[in-house]
Amino acid sequence: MFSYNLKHDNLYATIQFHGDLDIEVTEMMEYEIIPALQQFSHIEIDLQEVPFVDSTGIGLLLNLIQTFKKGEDGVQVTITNIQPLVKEVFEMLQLADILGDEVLSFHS
Amino acid sequence: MNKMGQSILSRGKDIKEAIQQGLDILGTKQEQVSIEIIQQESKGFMRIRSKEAVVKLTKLEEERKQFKEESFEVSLEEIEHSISKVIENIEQVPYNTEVADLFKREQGSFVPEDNVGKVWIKNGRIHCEPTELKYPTITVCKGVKLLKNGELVKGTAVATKEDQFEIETIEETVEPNWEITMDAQRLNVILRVEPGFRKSYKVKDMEPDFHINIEAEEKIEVINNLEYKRILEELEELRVVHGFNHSEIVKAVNTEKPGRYVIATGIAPKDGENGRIEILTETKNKVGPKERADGSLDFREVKEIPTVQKGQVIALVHMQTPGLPGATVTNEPIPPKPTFPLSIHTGKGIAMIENGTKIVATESGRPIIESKGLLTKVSIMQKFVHPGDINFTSGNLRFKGDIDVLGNVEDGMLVEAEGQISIYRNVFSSTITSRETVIVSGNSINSTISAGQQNVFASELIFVLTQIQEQMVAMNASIKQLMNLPAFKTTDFARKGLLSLIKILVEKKFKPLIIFVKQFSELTKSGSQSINSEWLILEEQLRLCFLSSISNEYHTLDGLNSLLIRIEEMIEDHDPEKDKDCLVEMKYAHNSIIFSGGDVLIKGQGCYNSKIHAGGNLVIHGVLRGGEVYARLGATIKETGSDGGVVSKIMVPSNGKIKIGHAKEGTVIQIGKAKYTFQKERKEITARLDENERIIF
Repeated sequence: MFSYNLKHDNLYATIQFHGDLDIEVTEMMEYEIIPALQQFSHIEIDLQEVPFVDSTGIGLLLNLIQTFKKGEDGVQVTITNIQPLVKEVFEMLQLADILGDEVLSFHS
Repeated sequence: MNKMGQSILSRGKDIKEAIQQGLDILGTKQEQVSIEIIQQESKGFMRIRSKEAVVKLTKLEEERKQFKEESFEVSLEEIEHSISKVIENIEQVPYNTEVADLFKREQGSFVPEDNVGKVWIKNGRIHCEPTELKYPTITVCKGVKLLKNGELVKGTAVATKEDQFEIETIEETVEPNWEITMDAQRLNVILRVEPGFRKSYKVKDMEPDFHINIEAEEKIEVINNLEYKRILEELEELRVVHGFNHSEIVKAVNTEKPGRYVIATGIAPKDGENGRIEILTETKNKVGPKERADGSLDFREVKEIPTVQKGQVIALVHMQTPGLPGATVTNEPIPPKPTFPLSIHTGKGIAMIENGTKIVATESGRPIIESKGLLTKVSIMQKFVHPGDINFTSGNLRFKGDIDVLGNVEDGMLVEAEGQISIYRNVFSSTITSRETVIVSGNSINSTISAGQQNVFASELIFVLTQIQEQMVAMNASIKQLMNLPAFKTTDFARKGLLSLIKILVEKKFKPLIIFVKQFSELTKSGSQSINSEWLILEEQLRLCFLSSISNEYHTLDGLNSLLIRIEEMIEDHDPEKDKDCLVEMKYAHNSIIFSGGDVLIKGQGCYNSKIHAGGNLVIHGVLRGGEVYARLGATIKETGSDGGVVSKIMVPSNGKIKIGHAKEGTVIQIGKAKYTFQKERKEITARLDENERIIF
């Protein structure tokens, strides 16, 4: 089952995802995660505990990041600790090109 | 220090005489020898116990080098001479034992004297006679191992008295090899032979010399242990019973070189012939009336267009002939390729007679024969001749065959034909549409002229569709690759199909796909009046697949594949090659839209403010001023642009060429995606793309 863990320090938030990022996460993403992240200026999404993804899950992630980046305040979002096999999927979909290197850097 | 060379002993009644005699023998001067006095002369009584003077003369090395070749030979002879002299003298003075001993000692290394300091080979063994001052050297060659005191010598060795030399020769054996194979049809049995060999070296005897190269003679003995009997046994094992080539087997057995021998051959089947058509009449389009020297038209030449009369035999149909079966080397029959009859599709004005062996015209007109593989369509294109002008009085003209209009077409009228349209005068504000060819002997003013099965829109749509196809093929491959990645789950496919995935893929990786689909959509809408409904259906399918945000039937692998197949079919159906024989020809075009599936030829003054699309070549003998032209196979134009800088655009695909005799200001050329605008006039240019997709002249 998917769960998340949010830590924050003033305007800096770190959200850790646990479990598969897939179609099952749709509602949680929309009703819990996005609202919970509203007030921060820096958001770090930790994918250490995400072993599998599906295309809907990736769509949700893209949507999440684009929602915040679009805002006037220009929230800084980064994705960290991607599992190597998941990284393969992200690379194939050219996510770094979609989100920008500052969000998702495969070189680090 | 000078090295020492050849030495002799010489004697005389005193030192002076001894030296002189030695120098005479050596044929040299005193400065070029070193002199060692071996014995001073002494006077005895009545020659009893008297001693003569003895000196040793050694030629200095430098001298020897200088005269290496000639003087060496000479001196050898002379040394022999001197030796005999010396010996004579000794014999004359038998009691002079000291000197005689000395001579004997020296003779030990001297006899034969010219071996001193030298090395030689006899019967495969090395002999040498080094002196204190001269050590002979030995160089090893290929195929030989030289052991000096049990150690392998590499390159050159110096021989001293104590050294033990041994020569070993190298031997190499390659076993013979052979193999029998049969080709897939069992028509030929092939024997490959690679004879083996035994290679050995024999060391050559060498004459004594200061330096020798050990030379070895290579001896190669070919081993071909192939036996005739053995081959036959092998063939029997392969069940080859038929078509032995005995002479080849014998050659293989006796060969000393590698080779390939066809040792058994079956009988190849003889293929028959498919049915075919033999055309008895001219069918190629010939251009309408001939122009006379004064520019008027010769209407008698109209008859040049090929026509057949009622009852005329157009073609003969030949039935297929069966082939003859062959046999394999294992004596199994090989059937010939099957042959098929020609399938004749008879169109309008055509009948088959005499059991379908003759094709006869039942109407007069222009014969049309189209062949695709074994399917041949034959029909007669009838001709309608309109003797005057087409205008309000005559009404529009539509005909399923060819049309000749001997006058003008005017007043916004329409002339439409399945066959060729010839307008003998001009076209004003009208539309001319042929599925084949339009020849306007005069000018086209404010008109639309189109020739070919397609039209302007269809060919542009095909261009975009080709790019969509390319992107989709790559995207399908990516999807399949992605589904094989271990961390990628396909759980959502059952519920939402590929929609989410497609959305992500077209976000970046296949972004052009969306651009092309939108382009395609817009083009279809703008041309919806003049294109087939199949285009509208395809447009909707593409839109649903790539632009919809709701999951639908196209968002599955099967859905994507069937859409791709539909696109391929569409591209194939509209293959521009089908229209390559189409032609639009006229003298002069003004404010007109001209489309041809094949070539466009403007023969007269030129082309003003017109739009031209040529599926083949575009040739303008006059001026191109204003407007836009596209030519799929390249454009040749005498003059473009104008002094006033009116924009005249010429486009060809990336592999096309643009030739312009005189490009004036305002000329814009585009090859593939690269554009060039002429700011100054240029003459005699041929533009094309280089390998970096830049325009070069």
